[in-house]
Amino acid sequence: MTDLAHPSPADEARQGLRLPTVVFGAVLLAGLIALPFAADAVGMNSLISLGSRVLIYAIAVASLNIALGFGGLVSFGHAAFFGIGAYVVAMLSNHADWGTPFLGFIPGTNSLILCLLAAMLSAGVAAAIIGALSLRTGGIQFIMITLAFGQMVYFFFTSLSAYGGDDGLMMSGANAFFGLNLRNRTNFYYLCLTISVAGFWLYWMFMRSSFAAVLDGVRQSPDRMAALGLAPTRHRLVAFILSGIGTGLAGGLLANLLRFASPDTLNWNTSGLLMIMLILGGVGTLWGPFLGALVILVLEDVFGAWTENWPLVLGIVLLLVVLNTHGGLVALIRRLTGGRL
Amino acid sequence: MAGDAILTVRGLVKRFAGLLATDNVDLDLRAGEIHALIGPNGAGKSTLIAQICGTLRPDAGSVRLRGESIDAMDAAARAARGIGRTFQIVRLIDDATVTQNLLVALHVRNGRIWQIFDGPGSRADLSREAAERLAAARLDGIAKARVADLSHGYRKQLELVIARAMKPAVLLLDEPMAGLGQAESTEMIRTLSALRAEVPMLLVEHDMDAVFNLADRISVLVYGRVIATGTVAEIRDNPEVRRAYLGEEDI
Repeated sequence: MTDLAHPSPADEARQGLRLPTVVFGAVLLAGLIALPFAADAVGMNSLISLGSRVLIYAIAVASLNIALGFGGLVSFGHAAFFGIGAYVVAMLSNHADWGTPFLGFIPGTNSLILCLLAAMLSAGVAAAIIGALSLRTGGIQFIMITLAFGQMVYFFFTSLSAYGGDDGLMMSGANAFFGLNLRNRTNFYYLCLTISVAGFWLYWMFMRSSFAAVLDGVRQSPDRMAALGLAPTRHRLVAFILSGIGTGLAGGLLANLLRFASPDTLNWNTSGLLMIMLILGGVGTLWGPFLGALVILVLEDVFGAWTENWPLVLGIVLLLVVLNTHGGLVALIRRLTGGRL
Repeated sequence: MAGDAILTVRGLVKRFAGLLATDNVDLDLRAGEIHALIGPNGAGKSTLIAQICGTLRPDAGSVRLRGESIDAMDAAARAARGIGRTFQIVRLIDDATVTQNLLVALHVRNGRIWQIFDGPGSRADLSREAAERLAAARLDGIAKARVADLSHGYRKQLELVIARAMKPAVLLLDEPMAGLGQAESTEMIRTLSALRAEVPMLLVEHDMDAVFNLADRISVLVYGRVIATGTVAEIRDNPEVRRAYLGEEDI
């Protein structure tokens, strides 16, 4: 399969935690915890929502990394799982409002936990189906077929007029979670932060796992793995499903943040955006997904306020990073700090 | 010395667009032996290996491992069943270290392939075994080197260490001497000779010194057909072999 990953993605995780990494993580976490207070202090409340979006996209990009970075599966259809996550949450919550069961037998719910679990399950099932069919191919064909499946899902959801069609699906409010008011952006931000930290820990564990070590071999040398007696397809499929589940979780959170499931989350643009974030941050790295999401969403926020042609700025930044570093921002930081981070 | 047939090939046929690449080949690999497969370039040695490994489907014939047919299995399933191999062009995980390459193999061998959230600490037994195997093969000095940075000789040795670690029932070696220097060749011959008691080997090799040094039996493949099988002395004295080989190698 097409190999976009830089050398040995799991390397940094295998080395275990080094002090500079721990310090960096602790400082970053402290900063993220302090963000709502800082935003309040400077009177820029929108920063809190921006923070939530960065965390949500970081989850989606880290999930994409499992397929693309570790599995070598260049999926151009991950918007499908992102959007399915968002739509499942919005649909269940609307059915709870309407008092009618979904498909006539699945009761609606406004519970955040149930909604997110349903989002992950649905995205996982979709990833299993799309993955099982797409993994019969490889390379460019895999990119094209995942793109095609992604667009199929997009047109499917935009044709459901009962669920808003082209206009997307509004939610009357955010999901319920132990009496916490999730409409409050600070509350919601901390919810996202908690889930992100837990997700980051799982992601880190995943990178150090036996499965990831074997998957690394499958990506780099399928012939070698076959000679060892391992059929590569099942590992690729499981990686693809895990990736879909994580992306679905991010989509479900995004619906709660926006209180809206947008057809845009399903569009191939979104697949491209997630991929750009990953490439910018660093394919196959631990911190890359977060850095990529952070830089692109902040750029969008800053330059989008000045000009609607902000993607031009993004394009230039992306060009500079891709041309000058091997492995995105993570590689750049590593070089600037002399490999200490 | 040589015992029962572990691997039996019967009536194997493979045609490429009318060309008979494998012509009704019978072959036995017995316990405790090194069976060399020699023949001029284009004789169909690699094609035959590929059919035994399962990367190429034969048009007819069967391959049995310990009496069991493995014809329906793909390459991965055959490898899992005990058909070990090394490649003519070394296949390793290039961007991983020597240790990591061996570790991945040990993971597969022990079925530790689906653990999604286990840490490296829980696999200390495998790490220890990897270190021991590298030390035994005198590769411990390069344990942390990236495989892509290694010399050709080291890569060949590592591939053999990995193949051995899988504890295969048979081992197919596709030109293990190719590209090795004099000292490396001598080392490889010594390694393979010592390995004879552990696993029977089918050895495809052009280096006749190595073949005569190592082989218990030799099969000669010409135009996809086995024209003779026998001990080193029998093959040396076989007039048909001499005719087919004259000018190709000095036998």
